[in-house]
Amino acid sequence: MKQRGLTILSPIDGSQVQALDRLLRSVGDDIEHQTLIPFGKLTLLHFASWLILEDGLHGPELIFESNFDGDAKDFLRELAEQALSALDQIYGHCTDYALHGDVDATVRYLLAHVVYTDTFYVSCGGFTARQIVQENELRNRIEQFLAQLPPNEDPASVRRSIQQFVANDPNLQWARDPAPSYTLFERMRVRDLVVVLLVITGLLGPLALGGKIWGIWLGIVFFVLLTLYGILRWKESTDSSISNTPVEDSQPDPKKIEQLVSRENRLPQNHLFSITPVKPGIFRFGLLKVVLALIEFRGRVTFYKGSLSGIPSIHFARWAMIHNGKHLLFLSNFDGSWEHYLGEFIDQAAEGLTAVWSNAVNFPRASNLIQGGARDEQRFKDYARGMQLYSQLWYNAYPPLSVVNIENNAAIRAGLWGELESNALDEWLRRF
Amino acid sequence: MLETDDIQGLVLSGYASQRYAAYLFLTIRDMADPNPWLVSMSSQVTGAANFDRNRKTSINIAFTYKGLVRLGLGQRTLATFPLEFMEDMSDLARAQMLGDEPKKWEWGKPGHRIHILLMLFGRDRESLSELLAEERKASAGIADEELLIESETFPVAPGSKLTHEHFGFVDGLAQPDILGYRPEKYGANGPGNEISPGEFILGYENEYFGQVTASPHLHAPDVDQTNLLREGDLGRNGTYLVARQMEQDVPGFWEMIRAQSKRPDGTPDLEAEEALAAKIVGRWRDGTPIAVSPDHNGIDPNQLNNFGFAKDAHGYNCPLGAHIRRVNPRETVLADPTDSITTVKRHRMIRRGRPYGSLMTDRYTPDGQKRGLLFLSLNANIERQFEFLQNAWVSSPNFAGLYDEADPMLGGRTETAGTFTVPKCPVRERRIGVTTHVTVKGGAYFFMPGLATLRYLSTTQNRSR
Repeated sequence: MKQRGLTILSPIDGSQVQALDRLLRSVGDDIEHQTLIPFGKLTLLHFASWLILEDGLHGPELIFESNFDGDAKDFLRELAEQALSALDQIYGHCTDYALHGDVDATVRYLLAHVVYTDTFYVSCGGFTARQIVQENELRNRIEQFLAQLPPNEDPASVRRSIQQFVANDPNLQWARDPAPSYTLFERMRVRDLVVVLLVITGLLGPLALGGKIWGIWLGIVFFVLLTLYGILRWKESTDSSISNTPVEDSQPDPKKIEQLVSRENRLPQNHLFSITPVKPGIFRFGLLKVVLALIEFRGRVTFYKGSLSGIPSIHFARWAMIHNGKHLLFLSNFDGSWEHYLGEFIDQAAEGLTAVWSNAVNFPRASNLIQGGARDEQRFKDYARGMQLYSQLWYNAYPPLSVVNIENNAAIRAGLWGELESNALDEWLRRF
Repeated sequence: MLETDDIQGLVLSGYASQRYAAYLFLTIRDMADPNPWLVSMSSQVTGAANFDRNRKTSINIAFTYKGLVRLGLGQRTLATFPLEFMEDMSDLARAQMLGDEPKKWEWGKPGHRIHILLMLFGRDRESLSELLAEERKASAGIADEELLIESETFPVAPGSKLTHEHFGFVDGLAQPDILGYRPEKYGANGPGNEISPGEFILGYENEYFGQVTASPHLHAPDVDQTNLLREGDLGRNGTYLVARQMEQDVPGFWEMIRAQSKRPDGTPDLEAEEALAAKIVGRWRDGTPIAVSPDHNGIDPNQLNNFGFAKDAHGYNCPLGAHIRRVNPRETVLADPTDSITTVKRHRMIRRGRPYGSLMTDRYTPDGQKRGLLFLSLNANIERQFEFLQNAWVSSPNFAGLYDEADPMLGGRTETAGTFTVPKCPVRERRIGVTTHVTVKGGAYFFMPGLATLRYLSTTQNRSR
């Protein structure tokens, strides 16, 4: 099944910001024991957060991030049915929410406030939340079984014992069937298919008018691209950037960092929420749109199996250009600490990040769109911290599991039945 | 080229020939004027250029953030120091990240008063106790003594450079070689061991494409009238020192190993004990890495650090979660060995820790004595080096694809303590009850200035007050 993400923006009544902040924090402070939102009953949900953006477009705004299985409507309906009074309380602080006790109306309200997500990344594509929890249970049960298994020299017979154990456990009967497949077609977004078609038609279409006209057309395309590149280079050399100040003097406000880190490292996973102002003008707007679409496209074609550009620790991430393109919203759910995450960014994916954030105000100086920028380690980290905002409420449906764990559990299930030749058998047994 | 005449000696040498050490943690008294003492100290401190193996004693010095505040640096200058140094190791959020419980510490808690760490070294007991007495006398007028940790190293054989810690393992083997500094001295080390100086010393190029690590510098009203510093750079040739006192329960550790290793009839099995201990550490007690010598069939003592994990990617020899693999995963932290080395090089440290307390005569029998390791590491960026390593590798429950497991020797942020996976054929052995017997008793972050900066700190006329 496909995973989707919704980003929902609602205007908050200015006088209600503090009250809403208190409400969301009280849930976020003790997500395990709070009773307002019955997260445990939300079967489709992977990660979610509610955040307050104090400087929104026309005043404070509430952002609701969700990552879930299947259709948006189904997820929102489940949410509204299970947590209607909580939604009424939360959205009661918004200027345009006057509903109480009406599931249909609340679903309509939330749908009406969805903003367009430019890039949505799913690490374990196709895995439902239920499947992730189930497959971890499978692994745990087999691990317990292995603890009682007498020492055995023969890999094949160890696997047979495991197969027997699973086959005989009434709670693991579901594991006798393989996990549903997740096809390229399912992964793709309609937008991507349309764009690919348009680009192909745009480039090859004039061929129908004859080779000469096509040649001229390609020349025009090339000239336009070259001009755009020239504009980019000129902008890169003249844009303002934190690269102009000594790194020691551009450290973000310690008080702010203190607040951010107070919420970090409670679990092996963490959450990052940031809003960056996009450089003004149609050029940067268009460029950023294209870059974000390309990153998503690439993610859906190649990076859907547990690793984004060599980073094996991001569960879900998204970029959305909000406020008519004035701001770039970034939300990420990842394994490990902030420092670890940013380090992996720089070590593994500096080019992609630079292509995105070099369109934002004050980013470390980039050249040719993808060079420099995030490679300026200390300034990039300062910039990222400086743009980060506090997450009042963040929920994670399977806290002990890293992306690597989830992929490993799925591979255990996938290799449970059928023939395995000896190398594959050894590899499978190493997964325990 | 390193400016060795401005770098403190301890950065570039572990002073192996000076087996005795004393670590004096001092607080400058409220009304006292520390400058005359600092002036005399700055002429005594051992520099990297004037250290020779035959000298009897060495002195090195480092300051906490509170210490620099007390010395009177201005607010704007202080703000150029990194946040983790200002907040210190015991900061609540940092402790959460590191897996620490500072409430239970004996020193270094959030309200601590430590300003200065004075590190004294001597060739023999007498010269050290003489030096310690002198320094105590010299500082008595201006400072209170918060803590004294005395240390004696334990060479594996008389005169040997190899020393062991209290559990009995040869320690301090994996040290980075500083790129460009005395290449003729490079040891026979595994891949990726030559590291840019900016990782360990401020003012030099680091492992991020040759960028220069951030360095604290002067801002008005602080001035440098006598031109001691280069362009007001306070950090140049200095570094940050992480101090962490780790108490070791030696009988607890070996009893745990014994309980794990008994024969079916319940009698102890010494060979199995040594084998399990080696799996936990990643080395046999004599330092031989099990990644290349799983059967302990001898290895050149000069080659103890000359190995990698690439050929042991699955951990059949050295478990993925073994101590030395967590602190330095070499080629195996990412799928690609080259990428791994690039990443690992950005998180290395120079280690200068030494044991404290007496050596146990019988490792199984409690003697009521306190002992452990005063862990000291030098790095140019505490957040990216020490803190990263402790958080992402040592104490991480998911390191190397594991589930809820931490460093079997040091412990970590797990839900249930003591799980340790030992990869085997046909299927892994999972140990339960491999709990840590190391307890952090205190810790703090220090700035270890270059010699010119030390002289600058000892003069008042440059500062606002």
